[in-house]
Amino acid sequence: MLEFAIVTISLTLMFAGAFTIGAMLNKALQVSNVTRSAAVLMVTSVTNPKADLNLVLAQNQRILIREANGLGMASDAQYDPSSTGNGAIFLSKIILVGNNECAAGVTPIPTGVPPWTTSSCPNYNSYVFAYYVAIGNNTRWASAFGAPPSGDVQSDGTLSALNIATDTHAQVPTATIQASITLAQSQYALISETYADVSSVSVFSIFKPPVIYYRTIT
Amino acid sequence: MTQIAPQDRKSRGFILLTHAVMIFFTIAMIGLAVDAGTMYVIKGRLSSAVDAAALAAGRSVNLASTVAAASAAATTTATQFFNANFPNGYLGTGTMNLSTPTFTQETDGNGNPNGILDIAVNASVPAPTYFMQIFGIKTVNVSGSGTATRRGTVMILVLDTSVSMNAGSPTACSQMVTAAQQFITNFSPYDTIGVVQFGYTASILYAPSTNFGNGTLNTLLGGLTCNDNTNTTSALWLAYEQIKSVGLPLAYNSVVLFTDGSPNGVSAQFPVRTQADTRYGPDVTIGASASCGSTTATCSVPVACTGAATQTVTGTISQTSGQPDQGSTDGPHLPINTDPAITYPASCNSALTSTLPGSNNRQLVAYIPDFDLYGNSTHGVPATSTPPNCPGATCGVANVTLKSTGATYYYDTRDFWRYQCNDVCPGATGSAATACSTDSTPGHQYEGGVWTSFPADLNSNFFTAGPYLGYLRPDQPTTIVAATMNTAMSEAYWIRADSSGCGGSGGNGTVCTTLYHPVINTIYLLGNAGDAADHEFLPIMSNTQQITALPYDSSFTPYTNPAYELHQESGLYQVTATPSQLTVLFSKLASEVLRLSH
Repeated sequence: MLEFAIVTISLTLMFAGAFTIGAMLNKALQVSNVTRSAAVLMVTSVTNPKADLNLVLAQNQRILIREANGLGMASDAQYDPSSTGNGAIFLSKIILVGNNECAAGVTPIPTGVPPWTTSSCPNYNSYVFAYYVAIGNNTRWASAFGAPPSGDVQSDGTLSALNIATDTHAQVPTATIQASITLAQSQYALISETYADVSSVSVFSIFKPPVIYYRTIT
Repeated sequence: MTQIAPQDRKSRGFILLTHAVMIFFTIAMIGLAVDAGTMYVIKGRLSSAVDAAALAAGRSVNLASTVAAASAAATTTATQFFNANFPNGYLGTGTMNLSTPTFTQETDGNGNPNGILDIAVNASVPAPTYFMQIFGIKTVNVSGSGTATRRGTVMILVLDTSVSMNAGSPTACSQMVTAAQQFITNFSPYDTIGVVQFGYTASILYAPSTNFGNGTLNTLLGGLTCNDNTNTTSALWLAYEQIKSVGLPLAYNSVVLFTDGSPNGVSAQFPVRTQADTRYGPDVTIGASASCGSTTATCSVPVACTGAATQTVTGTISQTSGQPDQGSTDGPHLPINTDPAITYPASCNSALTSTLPGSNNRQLVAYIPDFDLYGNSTHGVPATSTPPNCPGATCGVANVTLKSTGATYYYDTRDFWRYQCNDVCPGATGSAATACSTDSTPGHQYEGGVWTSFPADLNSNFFTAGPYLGYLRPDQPTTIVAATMNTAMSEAYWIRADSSGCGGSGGNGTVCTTLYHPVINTIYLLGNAGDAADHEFLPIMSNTQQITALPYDSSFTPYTNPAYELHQESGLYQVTATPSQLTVLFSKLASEVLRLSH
């Protein structure tokens, strides 16, 4: 009996650990898949307006929440995102403002332009949000790159050409973005980030896994 | 006291022994699971990274002008984005091996390119093992591949090289050239760009090619001169032909029209005049009275040609001096420089035809027919809504009855359009009308007007009497402008409708599924000369939803485009009154095109 007890304890710990690690790996893979899917949807949404894929709308966000089934991000059986759930997805388009963005956003065109400068186009040569959508529990987590002023974000997640060119509050700190990627003028990066609290997979509290964070920069 | 049976005594330690043996296999199995799980995580991250690298590579090919340079730029960008997603040494991985992106044009079922570029990126990385090292396996090669697609761009620049572009210092012409030269640098060697220029005659300056970045196009643009008229319709038709000749249905197919004013050359198979008539002079060639020596008087003119009324002459007739009813016209000219030489029916007065092309063409041409050389209506495009100023003096929407068929259409039309003044210049005639055209008062300039503002003139673009009653007049400059605006809007309509989708050849025919989904983007330099277009002309061509204010409008309420076609592509319409801002407008257009195409 004593031997059995000793063996059982060790086996239980071993299997509990294995289960926790395995389940966490499974969750991590799921989070990475959700993040990649979010990136793909964002590429479609941002580059093809005719796709009519507005990721601000709950019915389109359900595509991702359904894929995140089991991560605790749904608020109901319809897979609507929960603002108090166990995960959040952040979709951002960050662009380094150049001549084309200034031309698109600043009207009427100021005297002496071109060339553009920060006087005529305040965000010239700065990294700026051009799109931002937060899905899920965005009070517990925030994008690693920050967020534009909520008033700048339009009903489809985009920022207006005017705000991209002129609202300095929509800027992303250069050091923050360049820690990940450096862009050329008018080049942009589509960033998809997912946070997921997967502590529910833990058998014992000592095996409590960390919050999973996954990011793709497309 | 409980005694242990001899048989049980032999079993003592069996569980520990069994467990000791089993633990080896258990740890091995768990180790295998951990190693495999790690591989999956690395594989997932690698796949994500190559996807991102492929997409970024596709976007970056427009950072260079040659295929080699674009490939280098794509490789650099792909590496950059790959590293952003797969940090060096991630989970103990070794040196990453990222392939050079490969670019492949997609083809349809018949092997023809369709305008989509596939970009493939492969990567592999040695991933470490933790438990499998026990079996001598220290690393496992993990690989991933990503493929992205990039929608190519087929863009035909249609550039106005009329003489009015020589205004200003530096000239608007030179600033247009600079803007166009800069504009093309936004595109990649996987895009196709061509250029059509137009004056009296439209011609291809640069046939559509992916090699536009090699300097040749830049040089050709630099050599452009601006020195005659504005045959916009033929140029648009030629541009559309270029889009079809490139033949990439899934690409972003676009015409970019730059112009500084109203079009003024209508191309058609013109019936020759076989009947005596009363119309504006001059008619010094075929023996009319002396009163017909100028363009300001009407008089009876003898027949120009004998024989059947079905005889025609094919070419372009143009407005030349101003846009009132009394002024010079010119022609016939070749609509497109590769068209066959213009020939005249043998029955026509040789003394007259020997002076052509010239202002005497108005004595040869009987009238402007209902359809132009390309099948466009010389009366406008179908109206889809009624603007707020209808009915009224400046309303451009009306029922139009075609003389040739008797059919009536509800058209957005310039049939009743007159010069570039509107009812803010009530009653203006003759020299007063000219003064109106140069009136710098906001709201008084650069707006299309209607005949009712000029009661002292002939009051119509149509013959109101005589054998050609009801037909558009060829002897009034303003009528030629009106007819050309109509055909240009019609050509734009048919380009956007793109009847090649059902094997048609364009023109007024069955509307069916578009193949190329052409987009017409327009840039309007306003105020460069007096011959301005009205508010609606270019927005209708671009199929914008709203008619918006021109720079000189002090008070203007936008309204729905009365010829907006819901099922056709909408382009970008931009306007400026400052030539130095053309670079910015072209830049904005590049921003829009790149957003939509890549």
